[in-house]
Amino acid sequence: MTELIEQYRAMVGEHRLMDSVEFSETMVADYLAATGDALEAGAVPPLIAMAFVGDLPLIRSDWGSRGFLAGQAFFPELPIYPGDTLRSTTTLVEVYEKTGRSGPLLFTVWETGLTNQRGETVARCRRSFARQGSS
Amino acid sequence: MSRLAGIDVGDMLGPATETIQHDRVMRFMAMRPRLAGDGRFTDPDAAAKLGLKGMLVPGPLQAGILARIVRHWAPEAHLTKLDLVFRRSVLQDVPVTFEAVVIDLNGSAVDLDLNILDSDGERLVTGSATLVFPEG
Repeated sequence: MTELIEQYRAMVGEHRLMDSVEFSETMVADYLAATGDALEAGAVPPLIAMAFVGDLPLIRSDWGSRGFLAGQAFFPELPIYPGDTLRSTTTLVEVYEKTGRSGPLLFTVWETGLTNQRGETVARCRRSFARQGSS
Repeated sequence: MSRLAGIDVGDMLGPATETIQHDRVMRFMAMRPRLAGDGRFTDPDAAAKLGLKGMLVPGPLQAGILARIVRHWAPEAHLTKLDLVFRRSVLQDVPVTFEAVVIDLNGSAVDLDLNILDSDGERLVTGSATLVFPEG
């Protein structure tokens, strides 16, 4: 696992511009139904952006048998409205290992900036993913 | 008088018990089909094959529900941070309890601790949030 971790650590700082997403009325309606939320002064609940941060491009399931979202911090900055188009840029910022009850865990930490169609930052987020199990 | 003046450390939001049904998860997944992945959110058989006790509620959906509860508690305030640690799985169609407590006041900012608990009081998700109230 050490070699793999070093390989991943070499990717720290790499980033990728993810696909953009337009928040259609259908998508917004689905989100509101799922969360039990409502529009607020015409704006979409800010956490909708969290659902569109994007897949992680650099590290997939090379190690371990199971992966999961271990944590996320989300920092809304500007309102998001139906029809807005968001773009996200995700950067790998940290790779580390831990030993849990079930054995070794590999954590990767990612930071994402989300901008709207005017180039304004609407939110930032930091997510950590864990993989566990033997390769 | 601002609503902020009536808030104090130790104030509770909830507890509120809510069951996140499969159809709600499917509405979420309709919006974000790429999350479907190995079926842990959408397919009971796939979830069982993964060794899970049931289909899971996606983390971003849990976050959205917690954010709703916090924002509705103080609709005039802006949510500026929601920071969560997913300690254990949240299962679909199983009641869970959402709760929060005010832990700090700093000017116009209110910090809260958040939890999602199972029926045994086990903490499935922990975290914190910050709300900023308008000045005046």
